[in-house]
Amino acid sequence: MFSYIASDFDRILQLTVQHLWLAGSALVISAVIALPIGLVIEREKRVTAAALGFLGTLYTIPSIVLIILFIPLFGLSSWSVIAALVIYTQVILVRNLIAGLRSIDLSLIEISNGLGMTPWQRWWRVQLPLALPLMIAGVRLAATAAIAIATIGAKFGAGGLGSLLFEGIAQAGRYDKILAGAVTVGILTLVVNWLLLSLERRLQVPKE
Amino acid sequence: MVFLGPSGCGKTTLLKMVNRLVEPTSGSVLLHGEDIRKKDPIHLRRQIGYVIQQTGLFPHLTVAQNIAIVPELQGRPKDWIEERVSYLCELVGLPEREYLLRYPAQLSGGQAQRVGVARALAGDPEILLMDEPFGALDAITRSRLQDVLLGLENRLKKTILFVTHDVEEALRLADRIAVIQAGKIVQYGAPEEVLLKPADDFVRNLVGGDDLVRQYRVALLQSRREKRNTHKE
Repeated sequence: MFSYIASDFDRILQLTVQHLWLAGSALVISAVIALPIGLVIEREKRVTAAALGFLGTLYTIPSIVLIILFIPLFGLSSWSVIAALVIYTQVILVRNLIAGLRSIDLSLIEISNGLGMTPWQRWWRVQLPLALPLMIAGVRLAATAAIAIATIGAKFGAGGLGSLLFEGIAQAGRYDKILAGAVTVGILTLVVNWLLLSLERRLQVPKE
Repeated sequence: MVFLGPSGCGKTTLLKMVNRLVEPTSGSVLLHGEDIRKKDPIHLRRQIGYVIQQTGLFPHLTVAQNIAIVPELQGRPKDWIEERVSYLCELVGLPEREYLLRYPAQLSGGQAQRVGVARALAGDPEILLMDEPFGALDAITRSRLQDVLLGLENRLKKTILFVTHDVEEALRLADRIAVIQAGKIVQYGAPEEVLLKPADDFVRNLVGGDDLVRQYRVALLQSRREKRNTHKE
């Protein structure tokens, strides 16, 4: 495995960047969509339950099927994979955004109004900073899932570290390639998880 | 001025009508003779101090940042705010500078509510609304904070509207008491008046006017208050 990594280092690096780009762009798009959805459905308890139920159902669709569903739209390209990842991570992001907003003590919302904040000031100065740690926790979970699922993307012409896995399977006996791909994906997941976890801890509300 | 009554009688609702967190279904609230419904609620609230029982301190902001909120919303200059924050901390009895950088979770209940009072005063409001501010504190801390409040009232000449269900607290703090029952003011007057000449059985039971010790203490407080007022003049 190590000799393979050494011999093909440039390619592995390139695939890693590609992999990160797949997961990263999916996350950014997903977050941009999740924010307004979360804010809109949060107001009404019944709407929240229905919307989360719907997004949860999408989550149960196997990722490979979800990617295939997008192929008529985007063809065999990274966009089909990204679209599937956006759908897949949506429920995680929305659920954590809502959990973050709900975790805020109602008396803080009332005092924000009572002190004369506009709704926008209340959002920016109180709700966002207090909900942020849980929101980042959602991003962290979604990132881990996205990195894992993006591996399948190689089957659909999206590249990424999955390429090594599928090549290794196709070329009999290339366990070194399979291992190199799997280990790199693992390390990538751990690093991203650790980075977001430390961000989450830094944003935590101070206690004691 | 104290609103006194059992829980659920509408005293908090009455208070919230003053800063328009609750809109009256009928009638109107006048401030300096002007209907507050004609004013912009955001602007109005920035001119009225507000303290609630749960303190409502923002846990992600330091003591200094919490106190600075209203003047920041008012758009006051930075050095004005800084000066105001340290002045208020001293006023409410938290003079040490180290408190300014603490977070609410690092304060005791009494300290937190001192900060709550300081924050309410930060915008230099003419009116202060206090909704059972000392209700969650132990007896000793509560009595200390009542002293702080009496001192404040003396020095700052603010109109304070204070909600409580605690009769002792009402008798101790009030210049005037409005006793509220089921959404109606059943008696309005000076503490000793409410105590000695209760308007009906409800008020008599609530304030326990037959209690001689209490009568004596209120008389004592009253004479002190009069002395203080003649001093002022």
